Amino acid sequence: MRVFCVRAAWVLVAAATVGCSGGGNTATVTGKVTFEGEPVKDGSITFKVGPAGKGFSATIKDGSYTAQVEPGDAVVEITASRPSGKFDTSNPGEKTPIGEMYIPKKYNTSSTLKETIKPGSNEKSFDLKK
Amino acid sequence: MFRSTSRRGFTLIELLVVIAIIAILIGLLLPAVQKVREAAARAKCSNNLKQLALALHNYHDAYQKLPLGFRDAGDKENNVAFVDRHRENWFQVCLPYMEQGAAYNLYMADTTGRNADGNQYIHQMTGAEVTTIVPIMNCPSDGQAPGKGANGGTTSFQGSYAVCAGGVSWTSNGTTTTAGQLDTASTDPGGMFYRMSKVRITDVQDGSSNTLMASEGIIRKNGSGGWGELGGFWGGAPHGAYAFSTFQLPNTSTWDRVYTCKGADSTGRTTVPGAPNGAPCESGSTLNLPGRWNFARSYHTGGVNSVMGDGSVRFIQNSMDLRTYQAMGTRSDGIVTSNQ
Repeated sequence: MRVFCVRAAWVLVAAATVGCSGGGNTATVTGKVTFEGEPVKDGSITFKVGPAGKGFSATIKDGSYTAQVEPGDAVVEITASRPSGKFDTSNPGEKTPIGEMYIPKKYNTSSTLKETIKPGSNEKSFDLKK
Repeated sequence: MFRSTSRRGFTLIELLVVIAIIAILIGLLLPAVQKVREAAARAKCSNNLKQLALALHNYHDAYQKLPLGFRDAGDKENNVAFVDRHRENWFQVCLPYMEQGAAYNLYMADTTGRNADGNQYIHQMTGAEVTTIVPIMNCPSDGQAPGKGANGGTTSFQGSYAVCAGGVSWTSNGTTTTAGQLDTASTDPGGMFYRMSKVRITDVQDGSSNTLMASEGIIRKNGSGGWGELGGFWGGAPHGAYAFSTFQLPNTSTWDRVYTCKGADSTGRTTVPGAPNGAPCESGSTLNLPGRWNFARSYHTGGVNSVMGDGSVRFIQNSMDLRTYQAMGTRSDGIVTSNQ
């Protein structure tokens, strides 16, 4: 009886796990991002996959990121900002602090970074230069 | 052996079995009840979008054009620059067609919000119309609706729905796009609504049944400031609030990029726990990033409600083909798409 119960429990656990793991054909991409050798403290990384540029974003924290990305050929866009001490006043009645984007355009708005994402797990690290 | 004849109660095993069966039945029932509730909310939500489409069509019947996407300081009509009600968008001019004639009259008569240079901005208005909650603009699946804020302030009304500004990314042979097409605050990103737009239904050459008119978004931290998140009609329009972009699929993990996100931390970014893919948002101003856009988002399972130019409501799946979606967002791209 006890053996049967244990077996039944395993079957239930297996069924629950299989039932929940369905859906989503994304791959996991992890890596480190450095700019001029220094880890990027707060930033964002976006993989734009395929000719239509299907986007998958993740946060870069202290130089590391983990993203869920659909497999395929991707253009990579990396942004990171730091406070500039300046303010924007385009909204009458309000001053908003503006930052300074210090990653060059060749890594974001007109990115030349290209990577191929494989199914499963990928390790993609980027060392960005001025 | 008289025990069996005089037995009155249940044994412990029998009681446990009954309790276990009841527990399993409740376990089966509860998720079903929640799903029914969500299905009802989704139906209400799609009905709201239908009403919104009817309002836009009634405006078109009256003026022979769809309402403008938005306008901002410096915009002109017949070479005369506007001075009143800067940042007006489709929401305000459609108020009379959403059974909010009283709010519209208040709005047109409001003299607050005028600066020393003579320019009047709607985000500085203090009349009652600014806080008026328009019932058909709230999605019941979003626990934060009816929203407030997204226009620098914390009290004005924020809706759940916005019109489609367009967004198409393949210009030639799969090259990456220019910011102008992506940016919903730019002159014409290709949809039925944009800055100073006056699109007629006949201008929608892809066919109104093939072109998206409106869809929904998520209200992030209710009642906090921020500028430009979807639905912040009272001043957030030039920062992205009036529209959504079809550049990325609904509920994408790609960041919405508005002027400032509600509840953004010192990094300028924020996500909503529990929302599909976290509904991420990054503050374009704080981070000094170009372009402004919101993507369609919702708490419905697997997609968003949307209404097409002919007033038909469709449920758009998160998993649909991105190119088809982008072609649906633009009014005259000339691209033939299957599966629409």
